Amino acid sequence: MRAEVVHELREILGRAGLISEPGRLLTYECDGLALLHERPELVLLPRTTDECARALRVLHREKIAVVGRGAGTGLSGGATPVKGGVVLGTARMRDVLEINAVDRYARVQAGLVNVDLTLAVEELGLFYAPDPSSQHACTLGGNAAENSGGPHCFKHGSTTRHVLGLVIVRDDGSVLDLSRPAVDPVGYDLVGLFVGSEGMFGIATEITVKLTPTPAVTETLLAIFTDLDAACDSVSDAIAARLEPSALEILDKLTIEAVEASVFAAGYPKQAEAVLLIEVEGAEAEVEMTLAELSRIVKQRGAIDVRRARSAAERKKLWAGRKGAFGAMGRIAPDLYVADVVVPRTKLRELVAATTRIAREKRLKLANVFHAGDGNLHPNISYDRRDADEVARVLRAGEEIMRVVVAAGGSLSGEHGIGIEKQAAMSLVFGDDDLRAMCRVRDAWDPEHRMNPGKLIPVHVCREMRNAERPR
Amino acid sequence: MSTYDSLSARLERLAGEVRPLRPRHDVEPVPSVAPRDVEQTRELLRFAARERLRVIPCGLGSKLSWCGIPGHVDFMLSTRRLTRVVSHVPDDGTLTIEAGATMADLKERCRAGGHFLTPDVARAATKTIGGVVAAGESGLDQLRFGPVRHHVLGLAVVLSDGSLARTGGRLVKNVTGFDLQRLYCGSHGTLCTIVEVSLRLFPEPEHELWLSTGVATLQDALGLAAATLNSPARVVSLSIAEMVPPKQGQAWAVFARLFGRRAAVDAEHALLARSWPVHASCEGARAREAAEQMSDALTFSSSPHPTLHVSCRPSRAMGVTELVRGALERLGIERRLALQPGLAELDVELRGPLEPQALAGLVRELRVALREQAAQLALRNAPRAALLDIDPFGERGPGLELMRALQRQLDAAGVYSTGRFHGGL
Repeated sequence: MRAEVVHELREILGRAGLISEPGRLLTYECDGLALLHERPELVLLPRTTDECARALRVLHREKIAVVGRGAGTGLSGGATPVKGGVVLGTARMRDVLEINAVDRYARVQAGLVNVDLTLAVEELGLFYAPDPSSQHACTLGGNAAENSGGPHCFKHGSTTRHVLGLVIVRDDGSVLDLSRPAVDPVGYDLVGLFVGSEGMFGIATEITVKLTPTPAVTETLLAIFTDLDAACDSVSDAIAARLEPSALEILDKLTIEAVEASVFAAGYPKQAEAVLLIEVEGAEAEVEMTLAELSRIVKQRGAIDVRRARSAAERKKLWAGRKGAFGAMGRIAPDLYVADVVVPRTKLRELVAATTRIAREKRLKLANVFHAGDGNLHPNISYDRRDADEVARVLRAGEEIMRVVVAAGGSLSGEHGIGIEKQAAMSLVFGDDDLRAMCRVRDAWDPEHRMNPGKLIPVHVCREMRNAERPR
Repeated sequence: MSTYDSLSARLERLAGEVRPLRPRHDVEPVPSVAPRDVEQTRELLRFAARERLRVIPCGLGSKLSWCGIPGHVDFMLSTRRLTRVVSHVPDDGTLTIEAGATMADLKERCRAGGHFLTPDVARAATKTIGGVVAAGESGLDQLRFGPVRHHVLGLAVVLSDGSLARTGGRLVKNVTGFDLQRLYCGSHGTLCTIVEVSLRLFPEPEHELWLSTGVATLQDALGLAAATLNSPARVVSLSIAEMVPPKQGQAWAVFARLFGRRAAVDAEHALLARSWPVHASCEGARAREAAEQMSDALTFSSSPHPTLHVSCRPSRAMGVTELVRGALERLGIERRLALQPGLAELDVELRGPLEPQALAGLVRELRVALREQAAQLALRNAPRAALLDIDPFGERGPGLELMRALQRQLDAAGVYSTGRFHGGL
């Protein structure tokens, strides 16, 4: 990149807002999908919407590609840099701008860490519902870009149901202020359209989100199984019985062993083949009835024990184990491939079994920990990236899992997005006409395809390859 | 042969059934064609693009007068004959249906499968699921379940070049691809014709309860609403209606709907009884009937009279309602007024007397005053003379240029671009 451009950007962002030293750029070479990496030319860290807009105007003039980044916890390569492009991170935009407890919303900068919002409002009897496992690190801007989920999205819905407004800086540096909360949008729902667009429509710098009242009663159950199939069938039965807990999470034996050997040890029984973590919230009578029915279902399906958390501390510990599961798997192997597919909830058992079979055939270690209530599977494959043959087998297994799931009526991603990882697989789910409609919408937001180019849409459909190369 | 007859004949050859339909209640009828299947729908759109015709897609046409005055319209394309059930998996809580199925039929189907269909819209027999999604119409149950756009899992739409484009899917959680269903939902047929809808379903309640009471002032009504909303009871809907004239000193009626498991509903009722000291209630099938009747009575969306639809923040509901009432009192306008305090939505049916110019003046005046309250006002079912310089959907805000770019991209042939939506889209 020309020195004058770097100088101009440094003038806008200050010394703390621009990283150009090769050693420091290493951190930004990849997101949570470590298999794919590319060193960016620069990393820009604006402090305000105005700084972000001015920087994007320069990049627009220079036709430089831009990849947005929150905390880099994404798992599909959505924040992987593109060759010759810059990374624009929101790490220095962490202010809570407004909390309105009466109207139950908060306006924050996009770099605010997810859990910090709940911490900021819990004294008001409110919380922010979407809770990705990485919520202690991931940002609300990243959550909006990926339409992130989390265990409690089973009841409360993914990020898109909680975003009320946005301030977006577009490809040309213009600022689109859609921050006024409204019950229904006037005109097209640009906010809803932007959420989940994986950084390809612009950079969100401010987000207005819905705050949810803390439930009167929350209870947590741990059902212990000697058989993973039985745990899956319990979940299918609970859905078929029209029950509405707030979370239904399954952890298999390998995951339990990893968690219990880690700092996240939650007291999951090591002899179990699977545990089902259940949470129910609401008014007391409703919670008690739902718990009773769920207990009956899991016992009918062969649960050998059903434990009820006796205190808030115990509940917190059970959840810390679940949310720390991905981190705990570092004990099994140096690297982890976290797959993310969704299946019809009537087919949980057969598709979990299929992922296990695929891993076994490829001589890979697979651990399952997933949002069973939503049918959102996370087959996690432990591997060592230094072993090229193992890496190839991991990638083949990931592709095969997607094919099997799609053939059974499932889809490619429940919460991690498509990014680069699943870009080619989009054609398994969508036809060319479907993908062309997505291209047209993208063209309206970013005609030059400079925002996160080369992601999500398969190359053949929109000539993404050519457009990804053009801005360099 | 007139142009109308000649076009009707050509449409009839393509799709069989053609009848006259007004694009709005006060616009001359044009041919309305109802294709038998998705393939015919595509053929009709290809024909329109080839012949450079302008088309308004619709279901049964119940919300056409929410929109502004269209420019030239050649024909209406009704999806009312597309009623096939594509997939209903009760044990997964999902339903995929063609767009012409009526909301009443869908409610029955869902109930038989042990599910409750949201949105629970008023006058369900007069609306199709495609029309409801295209207009982004939610029911009073939005308080509990959220707006309709939250429950659309996927859509199949026909674009103006005749291509069939799918978005989303049939799964309760899915982030595969851009969320185009959020774009199409509420776009009033200005981007595409919705031909298939996938929905998430909710458990059919075991028990239902309907509460009603009367209070003297709006402040009393909002106080009762606040107590209800801040209690652990999860009400399905909560409405306040103005009683004109007041009955026995009570000028405001408050209604709440509870449903779920019997013991939970009874416990919630006991909780609410503390803040609802005097109230009438009914339960079971009678409660459901009462909820349906009140939904029909308090939702003015298909009224023959002009209606105001105002939304604001809950904390501003009192000020906004008083502001609107004050303006109507000054002008001596007979009205019906209903407020959803949990959603902070106010609906007013203007029963007159009100000349179109006076209506336009009222809307302009209210919009200026409502700016201070961060509220927005939509004007529905207004006569065309009132809409000459009024955008019925609200004041133009940021994003209109982007909306136009989206329309140009998705409707390059301009088939759906009849200028009747927000900002002339």
